[in-house]
Amino acid sequence: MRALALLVMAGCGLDMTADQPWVSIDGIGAPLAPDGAPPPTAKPAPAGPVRIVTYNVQYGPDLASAAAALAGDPALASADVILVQEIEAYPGEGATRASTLARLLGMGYVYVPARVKADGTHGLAILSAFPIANVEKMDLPDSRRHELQHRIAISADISLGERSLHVIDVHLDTKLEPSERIAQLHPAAIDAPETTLIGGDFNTSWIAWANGVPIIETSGASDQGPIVDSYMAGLAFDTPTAGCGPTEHMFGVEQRLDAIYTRGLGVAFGGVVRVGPSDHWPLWVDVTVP
Amino acid sequence: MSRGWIVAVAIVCASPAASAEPARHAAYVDVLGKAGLWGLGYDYELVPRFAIGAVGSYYVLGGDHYTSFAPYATVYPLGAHHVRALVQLGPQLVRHVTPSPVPEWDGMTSTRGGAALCGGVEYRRGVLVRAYGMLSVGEHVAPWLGVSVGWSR
Repeated sequence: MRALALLVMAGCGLDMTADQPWVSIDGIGAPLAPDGAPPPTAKPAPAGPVRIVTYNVQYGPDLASAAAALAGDPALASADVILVQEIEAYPGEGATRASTLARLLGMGYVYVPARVKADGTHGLAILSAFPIANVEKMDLPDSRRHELQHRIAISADISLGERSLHVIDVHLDTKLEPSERIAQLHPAAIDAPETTLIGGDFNTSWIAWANGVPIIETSGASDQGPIVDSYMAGLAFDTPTAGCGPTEHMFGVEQRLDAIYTRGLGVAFGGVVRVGPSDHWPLWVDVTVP
Repeated sequence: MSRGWIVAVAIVCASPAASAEPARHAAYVDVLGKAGLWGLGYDYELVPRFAIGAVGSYYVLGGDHYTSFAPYATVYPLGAHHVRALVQLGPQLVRHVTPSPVPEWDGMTSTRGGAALCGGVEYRRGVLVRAYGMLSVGEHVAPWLGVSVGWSR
């Protein structure tokens, strides 16, 4: 099957020659060593839905504002799990930004760097009011185009008493065409457990790119959001955030770049909350774990 | 003025049609603008200061196939002879095919419409050179730029 996939993917701009296994973060050392801590006081296992938020914090330079935005909104303040993208860590700051954000929100966290940036790192984090277990990292297929950056996905099991919620946090490349975007996402989604939530910044822009030059085509035919929704639906995932509207704003243009997909879970769409210092807005859903 | 400048000005000004109306037919290559990445276009000046035309394109980016067709009407509110300001308005049709890069999904095809309002300037005298700004309106709204280079007669 892998040989067939490689053959089919040969026409796209991603380097699909390497394996993309899930790797436990326990064996990852410097300079991409992960960081994490349990919640200071773990919430009791919920009887009802679990609230999931995904939020690209745009490097997280102003965590106090980000935390205030999350804590100040009634819907976001009751988040149980926050999938964080585009967060960084620098040795001069004393603690990773994920650690700081988690502390401000009273949550546990895991931070997994994707790449070195200056004297620090850039990566993904999962914040949780419940214990986080079995954290793994996947290096996603890289584009052959040099202007693009290395991307990862991370997965974890959120312990809800006797139940567990498997979550995958992803941040895909910006300047990918839809077929490339599917190819980059595919390794993280294809072998996911039957009951899984995948969320993050899928960068599903409506702008096409030709070697870094934007191609403006506003009809909607090039919107990548419905294309990724279609792909995920093909893998039997629900698409509760398909109609959520824009989740990102820049230069007066709003786009739906972020999403949450669920499979094997009860799910109710929450909303996009237009708060915070980032160019993205937090997006949330409630899921019922069987 | 150098001899080169004199020759260049003479070429531009000394056409037999220098005092006549601009050429009515134009075929051109569009870069960005209404054509997306690039396209081929033709327009015809029906009456002085009013033309109709269309540009179509097909290209592949990262494995995705884009086909577009954009007919338009042009008015030339300013300018004379061979250098004129222009305003164009017309619909845009776009077909986008995403072939599946994986066996588990069938890919997706989408066809949508929008409109483009363009304003710019053109030089038309044997050659056609046109530069324009554009407001593209569909499911989204965005400003954009385009350049056309071609032939006229």
